Amino acid sequence: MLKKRDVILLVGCCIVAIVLFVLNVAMGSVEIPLIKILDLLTGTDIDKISTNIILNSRVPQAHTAILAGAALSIGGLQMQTLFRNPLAGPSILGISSGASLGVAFVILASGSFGGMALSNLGVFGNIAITMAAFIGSISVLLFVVFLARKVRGNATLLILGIMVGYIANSVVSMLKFYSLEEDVHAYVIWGLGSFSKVSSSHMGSFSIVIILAIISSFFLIKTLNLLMLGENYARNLGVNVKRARLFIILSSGILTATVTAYCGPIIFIGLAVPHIARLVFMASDHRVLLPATALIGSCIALFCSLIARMPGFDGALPINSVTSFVGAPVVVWVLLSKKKSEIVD
Amino acid sequence: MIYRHFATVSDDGKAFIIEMSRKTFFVYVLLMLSGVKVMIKKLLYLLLTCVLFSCGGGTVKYNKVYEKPIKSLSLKYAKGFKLDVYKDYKRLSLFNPNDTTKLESEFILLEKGKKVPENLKNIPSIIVPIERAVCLTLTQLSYIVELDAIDKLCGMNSSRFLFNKKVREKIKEGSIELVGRKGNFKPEILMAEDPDVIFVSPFKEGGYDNLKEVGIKLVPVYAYNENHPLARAEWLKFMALFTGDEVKADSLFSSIDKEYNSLKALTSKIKKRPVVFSGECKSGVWYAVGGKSYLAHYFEDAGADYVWKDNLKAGALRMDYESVYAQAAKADYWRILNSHKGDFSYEILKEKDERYADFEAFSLKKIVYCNMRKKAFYETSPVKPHIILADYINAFHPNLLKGYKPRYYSILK
Amino acid sequence: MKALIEIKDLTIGYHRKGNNNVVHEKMNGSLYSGELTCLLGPNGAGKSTLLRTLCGFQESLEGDVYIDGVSLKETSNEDLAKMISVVLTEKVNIQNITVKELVSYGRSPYTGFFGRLSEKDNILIDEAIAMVGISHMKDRMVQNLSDGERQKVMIAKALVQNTPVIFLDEPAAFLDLPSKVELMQLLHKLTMETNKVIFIVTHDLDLALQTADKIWLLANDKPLQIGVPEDLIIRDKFKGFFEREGVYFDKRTGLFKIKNKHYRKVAVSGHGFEYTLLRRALSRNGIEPVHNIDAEISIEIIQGEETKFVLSYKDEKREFTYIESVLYCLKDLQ
Repeated sequence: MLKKRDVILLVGCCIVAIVLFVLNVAMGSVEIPLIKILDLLTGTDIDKISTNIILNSRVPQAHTAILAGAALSIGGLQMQTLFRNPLAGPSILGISSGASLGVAFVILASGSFGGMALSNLGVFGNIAITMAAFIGSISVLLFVVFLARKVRGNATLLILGIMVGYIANSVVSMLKFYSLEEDVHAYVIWGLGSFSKVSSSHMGSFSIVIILAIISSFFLIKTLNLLMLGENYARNLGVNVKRARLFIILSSGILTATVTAYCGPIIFIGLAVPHIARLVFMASDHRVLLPATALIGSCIALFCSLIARMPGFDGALPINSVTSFVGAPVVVWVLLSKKKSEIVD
Repeated sequence: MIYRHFATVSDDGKAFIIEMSRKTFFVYVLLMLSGVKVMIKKLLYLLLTCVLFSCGGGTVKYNKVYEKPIKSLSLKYAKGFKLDVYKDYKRLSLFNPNDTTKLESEFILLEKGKKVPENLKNIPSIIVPIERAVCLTLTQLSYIVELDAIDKLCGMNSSRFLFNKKVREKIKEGSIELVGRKGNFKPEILMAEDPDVIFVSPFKEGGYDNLKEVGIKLVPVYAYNENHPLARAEWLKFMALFTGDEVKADSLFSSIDKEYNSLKALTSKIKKRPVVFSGECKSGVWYAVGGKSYLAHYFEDAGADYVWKDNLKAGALRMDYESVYAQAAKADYWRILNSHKGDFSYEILKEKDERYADFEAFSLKKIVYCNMRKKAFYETSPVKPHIILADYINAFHPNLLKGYKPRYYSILK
Repeated sequence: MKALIEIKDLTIGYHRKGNNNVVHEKMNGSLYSGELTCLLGPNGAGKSTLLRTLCGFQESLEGDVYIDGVSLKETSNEDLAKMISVVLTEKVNIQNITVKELVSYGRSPYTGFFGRLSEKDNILIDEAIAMVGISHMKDRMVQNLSDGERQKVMIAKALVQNTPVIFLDEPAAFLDLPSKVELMQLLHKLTMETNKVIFIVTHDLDLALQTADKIWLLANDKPLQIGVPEDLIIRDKFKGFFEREGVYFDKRTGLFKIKNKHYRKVAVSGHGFEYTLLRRALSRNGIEPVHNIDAEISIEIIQGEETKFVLSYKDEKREFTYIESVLYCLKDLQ
């Protein structure tokens, strides 16, 4: 099953993740000495301000990063295997675009086009945005699932998903044009992604959904492995290809939709981490690759969050600027330094 | 660090660069088309130099030598405009209050029948008092309303909240035309209205550049950039230059000035000044204002200490939640200005971000709040600094103004 | 002998709105255990369609396929996985996977949730790898193998799937001749050793005729012909299936031959394989080799330590050691 080397590497990734988690809690724009943090963890009372910063700001944000990183990476891996396309990411079926459209209706179209309707129901602020993002992305997901049952080929499904994305984006552009400056600004800020939006009280529901979704993705490992051989071989080995496609899309979709709803559209992680995992672990077997991708995804997300909050910037940098800035050169360097045949083709 | 530098390049700096690039390209294309191939490089450079210096606004240093005026309008606080009075005309000079060495625009104000002197023909002239004006911000509107000159208004921008009954009626019946909103003004409507003057906001994109060709005068109003509350109110005198109510403006302002300063005197002896902070967190970034800003002045004059009073900026501050929390967690008061639909409350504030409850000002229920949907804030506050100050004093030191009924800001229940 | 697979009144084709696109109608036939069957036919005859229908990848329009008496249409995908295994032309392009790992995927219908392999599975995998003769490379990465070696891996995977039937779609398509031969012989050996039904779609007529136990012959507008290769040859069944301008089936040798157009005649006399080869070379160059001595040019083969070709033209006689020289001379004399 798992080779000794794989186990060692996985444990190594866990350790890196833990270290990064600790760093995330220890570092931020306000300097809090490590001793204080240790005191807090051991139960000793420290000053209220530091307690609040650590427990209400830093820990939730690190926690979100771990879950979001893992979820997006798994979603990306699933899309890459299903579509046999190394450039696929979790948002390739237009799910992020659906979330963006939902949020646009809340933020941009306030007053017109039925926007801000959620605020009329007594739901405000972040909750409204989260719900709108969810509704938007799940709508797109259901539409894609419906199409998947009708359409035979994967390429067709991919193109349909991309088209859905384009349509959502064009509607958003229209909304932007008719919106106030500050609303467009708020929408743009949402689009830059943030791990700090999940508050302590929502952490529970967020974590449960993500963890359940991640666990259920493990049940698709065998199917993913067989799909790597090609649809015909997979079918011959007992895989119900249509059903498998459906479940994989659902799994990836829910992971992506949840993260996007709570954190905004986070780019790059879902696309790059599976490649990094393949290169580090030198494996294609999803029994190794899935946990590896999840762990590395958490590490990368924690790392990006750390950089985004480093002191020296006026306020935190948006996550998306860090993920691309940090990750893209890494992938390029890795691609150039390895032989072509070793990279998934 | 580079990131920070880029963020601070001013908007008009960017506009200047864009403008110059546009002109360069235009001239180059023109030359190409005219087929002047010989020595084109040399010609290009020569032409460019000439073009760049003759076209373009009037961002020239204020060192022109003019004849001495008979007198100049005395201004106590306002830094954004200057008026020099001559025998047959008045010269109005406009500046950015944050950089008064640079003349931004100037206009010659003439009475009907009078003519512009020859040497000043290149400066745009306006016949005052004007009959038809368009204003594009609520700040500008506040002066017009205070001077009771609504009848001179023929157009204004669409804004989310407009409370003034008379203005709303005039819009409804069509005597005041809505000409679009920030960033998206409709040039045809503006031209059709044929106003004498359009008051514009100097830093916002207007889309009304081509109106200059039609001969309509665009007068930038820098009132919003004044950092002292009384300076902003003093722009009543500016508006009065156009509506012909100089005397009224003068007396209005004097009483505002007096009222404001007497209120300020109430708090000057206070030993224990409560700490106050302002703003909200949006997607991880806290937007507040600098220590030299308009708002900071209010707090100081109302007998409170602004958390960032030592900051030297007059404009916006961007900070992350942690830093703000560390500095303002123990602040006594929290000032919030928003346009919440419905009744704002502590619960609703907490729903926006749970961490707000960690602030002492929240838990002690000491939020100083104004809802722009319920109070005509932007359209009246520029000319009512004394009332705003009173509101703040009432919030921070209730015992000083017994029986006072707040108009804008009050402690959130 | 009982047939393991039977097709009854099978009509294959594609479902279309309105008219179905029928490729072949009402086919009947059987496949027996321990036999290697090759499906032959010209391009576009519907071989792929038939194979896809047999594998269960495509539904038949009418009629059905019966495996051990059970209808294909009524068999679930999971059960089918234990009955039919396939080797296709698709190139499996997975990086960082060893031969043994790829072969082990063949055990998927029998493994549990995460595809865990039991002791028994591992033994079967090693056996299958040994059967195809690639034990020495079982830990090598598949991406580093040659096409021929890769095909053997896929065959091992099909073997380890432990199905009574294996379908192969042009397994030797991209291989060179020695590898083709090796593969066909391997498949024949497997058929005998495992007693499975092995059914191959192939274009290699010569190899098929030599290695197959049965031939299925499929062409457009002709009924399906099934039989032992020799019977089909004797009964002239290949005539009309492949014969075209320039191609004919030589019953004596059981091989397809190229029919060349002849523009001139040359008399040739001699014997032995040099005689046969000279005739072939002349034929290729548009020259019909004849017996009678009436021809203008005649060539005589003289055996000896070194074979010589003596060309007589009018009164001239020239001697050549190479057929190439003979051909050039003939060209000059045109």
